Amino acid sequence: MPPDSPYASQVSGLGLSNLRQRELMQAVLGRGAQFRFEALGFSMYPFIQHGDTLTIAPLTDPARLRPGVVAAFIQTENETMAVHRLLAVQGDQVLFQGDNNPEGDSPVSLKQILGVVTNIQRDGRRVSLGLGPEGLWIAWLQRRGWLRRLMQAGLFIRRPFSAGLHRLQGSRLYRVWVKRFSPPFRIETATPRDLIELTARVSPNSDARPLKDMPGVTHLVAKQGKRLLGYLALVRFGPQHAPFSGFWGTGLIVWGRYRGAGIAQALTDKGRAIAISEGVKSIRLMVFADNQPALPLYIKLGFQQIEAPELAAVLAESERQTGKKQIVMELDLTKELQKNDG
Amino acid sequence: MSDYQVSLTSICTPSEDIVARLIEGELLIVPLAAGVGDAGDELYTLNPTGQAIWQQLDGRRTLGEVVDALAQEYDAPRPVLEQDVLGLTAELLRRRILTGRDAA
Repeated sequence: MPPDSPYASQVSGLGLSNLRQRELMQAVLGRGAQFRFEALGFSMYPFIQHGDTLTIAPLTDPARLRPGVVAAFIQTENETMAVHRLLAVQGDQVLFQGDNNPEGDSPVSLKQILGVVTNIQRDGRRVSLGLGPEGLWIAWLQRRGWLRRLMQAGLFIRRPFSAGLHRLQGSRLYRVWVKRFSPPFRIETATPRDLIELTARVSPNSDARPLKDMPGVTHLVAKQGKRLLGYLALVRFGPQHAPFSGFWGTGLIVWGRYRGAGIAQALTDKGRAIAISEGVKSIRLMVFADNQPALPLYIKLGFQQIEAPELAAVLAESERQTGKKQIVMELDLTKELQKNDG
Repeated sequence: MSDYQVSLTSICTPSEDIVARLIEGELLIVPLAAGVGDAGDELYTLNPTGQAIWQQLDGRRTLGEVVDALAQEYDAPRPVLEQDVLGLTAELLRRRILTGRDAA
């Protein structure tokens, strides 16, 4: 549909409310067709991950409902749609639980089950782990409360590897290697779809209410294809927002395995270019004084700690609430502005 | 893409290969491709004018008769209604969301 169509528009299903998604799913499955949509949330981690594309098939034969199967159903307590693993069938009651949830769902009846997951796609590839016969074992472990313990043990085992990767990402050789051989990324303003994705990533336990486009705020994202690698928000506070008046950078993040590829630098460079184009003399940010991963990065990006007496009360209140000290850093753009003027 | 040229004597019907549902006052349309309805990036929604026209497309009336019905319901000049009806149906035919035929 052309974007300038006066009558109709193409929309992303990612922004649909749970109710809309559920009703569309029911309508499509009711026609005997399969329904494909993007999963949001972390309740089925690690077997279904945030952003995976799920295919749901109609439940034509209730005999398919065996422990281990992953199905979409309407939750009893709030009538929202969920996709969780079937743990047991007890008479006409079916018990579900998310693989990553500490507790099971309220029992549901057969009528509440919408369909079963037949396919998981992640980054364009089919993922079969968790949908095959191993599902029975996963359900068995979950019923005994052992699945989460195993996953926690897995995280514990992985911790040294994560720490090793982090150290590696700090090395010059790694950064040169990644910059040369990893697929290129781009920096752009976030689309509505990106904002939904960002919200779910930053606040995984929320109802994924999307970040909004607001006046004075520019959401920048680093992307490879549709995949988000990093984020930076630029916020312009006017005189009415004193003592914050000015141009701020906030929320800078590069997700774990993409670090070391120059993404934070590229996001900051884009923010710097936008600020200069608007005639802004500096970009400010606030950071916790003990945030060791972030501080050297900001210094490398050109930020310097400054005294900001007008923010003293705000910083003191923050320290009182969090027990941690925050500092203000600034990226001075006056020389670049003068160069441009010259 | 459909090559059918829409006119006021055409009769348009929602395609068999879509699912349309009015949810919370918004009409959402999911095309079915190879037996799969994809709610990823393949969803369509109509604005209020589009929805009003869509509800009149019953597969029996010609688009001229649809314009007549809308003229009775809405206080809008007939040329504007004709333009809206022909514009929307041409667009949805191109997307295979509607099928069209000439009245017998």
